Amino acid sequence: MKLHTKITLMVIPLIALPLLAVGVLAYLGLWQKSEQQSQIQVENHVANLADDFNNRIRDARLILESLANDSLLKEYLLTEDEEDRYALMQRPMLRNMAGYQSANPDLYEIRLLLPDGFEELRMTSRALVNRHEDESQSGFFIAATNQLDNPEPFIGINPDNNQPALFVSKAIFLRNNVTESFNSQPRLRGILSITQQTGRIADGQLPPPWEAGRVMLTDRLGAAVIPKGEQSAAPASTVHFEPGSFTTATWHQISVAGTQSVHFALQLSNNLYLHTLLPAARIQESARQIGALVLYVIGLALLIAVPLLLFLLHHQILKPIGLLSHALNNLGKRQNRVQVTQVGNDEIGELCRSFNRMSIDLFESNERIRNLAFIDSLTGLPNRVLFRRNLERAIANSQREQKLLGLLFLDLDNFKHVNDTMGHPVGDRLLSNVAERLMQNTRASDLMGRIDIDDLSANFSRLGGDEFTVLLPHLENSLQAAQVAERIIGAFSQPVTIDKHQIYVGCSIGIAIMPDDANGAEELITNADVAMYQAKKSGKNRYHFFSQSIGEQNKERAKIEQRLHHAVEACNFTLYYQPIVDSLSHRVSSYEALIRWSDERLGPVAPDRFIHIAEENGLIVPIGAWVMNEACRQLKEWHEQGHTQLRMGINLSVVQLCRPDIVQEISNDLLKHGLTGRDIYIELTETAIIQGENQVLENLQKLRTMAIEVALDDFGTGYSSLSYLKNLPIDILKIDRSFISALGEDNNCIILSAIITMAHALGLKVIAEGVETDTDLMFVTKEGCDMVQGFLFSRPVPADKAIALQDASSAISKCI
Amino acid sequence: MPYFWGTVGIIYRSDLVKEPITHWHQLFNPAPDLQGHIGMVADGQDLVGLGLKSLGYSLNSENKHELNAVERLLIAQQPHVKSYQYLVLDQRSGVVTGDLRASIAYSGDALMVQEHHDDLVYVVPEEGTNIWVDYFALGAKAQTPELAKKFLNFINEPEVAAQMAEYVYYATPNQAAEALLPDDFKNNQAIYPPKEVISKSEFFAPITARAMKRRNAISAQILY
Repeated sequence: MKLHTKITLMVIPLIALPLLAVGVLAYLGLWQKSEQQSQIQVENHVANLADDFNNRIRDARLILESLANDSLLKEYLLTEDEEDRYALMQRPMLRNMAGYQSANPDLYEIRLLLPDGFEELRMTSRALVNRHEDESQSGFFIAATNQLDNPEPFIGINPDNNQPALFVSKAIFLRNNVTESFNSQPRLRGILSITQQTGRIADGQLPPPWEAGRVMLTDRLGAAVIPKGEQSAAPASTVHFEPGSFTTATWHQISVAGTQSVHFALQLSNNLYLHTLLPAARIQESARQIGALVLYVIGLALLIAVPLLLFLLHHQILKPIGLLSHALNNLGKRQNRVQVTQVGNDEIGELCRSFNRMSIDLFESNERIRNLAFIDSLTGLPNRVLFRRNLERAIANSQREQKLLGLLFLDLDNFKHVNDTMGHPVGDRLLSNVAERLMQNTRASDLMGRIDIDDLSANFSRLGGDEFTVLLPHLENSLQAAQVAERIIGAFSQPVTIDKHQIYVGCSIGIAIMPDDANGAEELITNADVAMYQAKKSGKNRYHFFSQSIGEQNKERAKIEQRLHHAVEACNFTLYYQPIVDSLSHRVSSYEALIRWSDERLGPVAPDRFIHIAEENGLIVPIGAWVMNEACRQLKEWHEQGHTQLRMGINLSVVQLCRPDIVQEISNDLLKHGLTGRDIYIELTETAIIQGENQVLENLQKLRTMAIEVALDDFGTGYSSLSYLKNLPIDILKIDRSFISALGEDNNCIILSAIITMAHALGLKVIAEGVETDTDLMFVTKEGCDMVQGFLFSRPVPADKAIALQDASSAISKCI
Repeated sequence: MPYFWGTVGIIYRSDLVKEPITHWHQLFNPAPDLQGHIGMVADGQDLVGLGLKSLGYSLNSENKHELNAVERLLIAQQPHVKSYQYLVLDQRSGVVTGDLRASIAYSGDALMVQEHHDDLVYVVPEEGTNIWVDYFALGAKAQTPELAKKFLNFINEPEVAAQMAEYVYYATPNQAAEALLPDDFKNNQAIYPPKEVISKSEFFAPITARAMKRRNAISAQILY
């Protein structure tokens, strides 16, 4: 089960159950409390009604008492003559009564009744017209006479105004001391009665919120004391209380007209009861409302609390945990730097921070480990692999930012020499120095933005040897790349001091711009490289933008390369032969086999257009093999034709010479065609030997053991250092045609003469190339040149013409 | 021995009352301009008796229904009555100040008050009124009856009686004195109402005790 589900299943009951328990308890408690409260309220109200009622009775009785003690009243009642009473005493009596009334206006009627019920005196403050003078049948009078010693208060309808009224009466007993014996019992002389309003007790109503209930007055038997139809609000007839069916001062349930009601009764006097009836639903209503409110609040609390808590839990705990878990996963995958957004200051936040620290440490150590593989240990710059990666990233960035991306391809102009003359340790230190200088000089602020300062080293790489690259990822225009290049070249104009040696290392820089010059990383590198070679070609120590024309050359080169493959497969080459003539006998002593390639699409392709390509892509090996085989075959043919003295000069590329089994292959070819080592010699360029590694020298030694001579071609164009000639395993020196053609200039004659003399001193045979005129011939012959080669005798020609020249030369020499 | 006789009527301010008052009911059932400006008397006999007259009943009626009607009439009139205190006769009188616009008055009193205001009018209503007579009575056990008789003789001398009548504006029962009175006194209808009015007027007559009780009860409600 997921943590989320677990927590949810845990939290909901944890909150819900106590809340519900509290809710139910509160509901029940409040219900009961509220019901009690309601009952108490109603009881209080009823008690107030009863108090009010009793107060009225008490007030009335007080007045009755003082009236009864009034001497005028006593005299009045003892005056038997009507005329005396009415003419003389009635008015003061009435004024008396009026006085009491004005003291208590509620007592709106005070009456004096004679024992027979005749209304003797009546005083009312309500301007009520008197309807009856004979009250002997009136309820209050009957009630009073029924209990003369202490008449019950009577509630009934006052016939004068048809209103319920409260009658309080008092019987007056007097003894006429004039006519009666002192021992006789006082006789009933009259009944004083006060009428007043019943007050709220008789209106049957309860105040809000109990309007649905009612109060009613009954006698002890349960009969309503106010007759049917007279009590305003309450239809008393709907309730009948059986005698003894009600208890007082307690609440109990009864059914009224089918409605469940609660009943509460109070005894007001001996025969007067005040009943309170309320629909049971009503008294429970506020309880129900409060209960409902409690449940509502609890429900609301649940509705709010549970999602809130879940949300908080989710947000504060589960989400960070999820994030951490996710981050840990990512960490496992060793992707980028993994960081968790920190959450709060709590333990989880602390955990996140710890994780982040750990992640950073891990990332950095990973970076270090990774860098070890990608960093050039000598310079600390990214190596070729990392360069490719950085380049890809920079390309993606520049495409996204729609900026130009420049690639500077930098090659030291003089490194090889330094390495050769001062040794690898110095070379290494020079490289490291160069790297430092590169980075220092491109940090300047005017270049800012073109080079990633943040990740400076990402923009530099050492591809190997003395090749460096600089990436310019945020160029606005190509001119900015030129500025950087100028800056770098400027920096390298200062000498580098190593071990007190001041070393001048210029550099050539090729610049290619993306997307102007290239569509992809590969093309960008190639084009920068091309541009760099262009810079070198145009004089070194300068920068050169990749240009379309270089591009064109490149295209041509690609075309040639492509066709070259075809040519190799189809052996689409031929060999031309140029005779090399003995300077004295003028007889052809050997031929130099020169390759010719005529492509069906490109037409004739000169060797200087395709040989270096073949050398670069390795096709030179099969081509060389073919040349070797064909030259040998031709030579054998010629030998068989009788020209057994002829030798063949065959060019070998340094690429071929670097191969360990080249000697074996040559040997095989010789064997195959029944030739010996003396029948051929091989021609090498100066650079091939100078750059030659041990394998080359080793191979040369082997060839010489096979009696194959080695000729140094084009002497005079390279270093032309005579000092090292003695150490090289060569037998023949071929002086470059440029010497011969410029014999007339400067001291070329002298130099040439010295070369020839020195070569001879070293035991080398000398061949002069490019002899085109008789003068040339004369000169080189005079200087002791052993053999000559040149247009004077023949251009390179096909085999049949070449051999014809042999015959001709024989003829010439014979002529001489 | 009769001393003066007179009537009970209504004195009113002709300048403050829209309609001339000619009937009792104008007093007992007053028009708006009179409401709150009525003066009555504190005498239950007069209240009930004149109330009966205003309803067209006998001054001495014992009829239960007629008395009930008077009770209702007096109760209905009560809110409009300014005072049940009998009229003051000098210039402080309510009818002079205007607090009262109409009031019950005895004929001679009315004529006395008229001296203080020109717009005061006294009228004996057409329904008739109560005619009264003031008597001197000599107590049976009086200590100086001779002196009393001398005094009564004196005030019954025609000149003296005429002079007193003129002073209090009451009619004298002394015919010799009456002969001496000037014509404008004898022709004053306030003092001598016209015959039609006299014929409708009554003296108070003895009534039964229960009727008395009833009248007392009625007036008590109004006055106490």
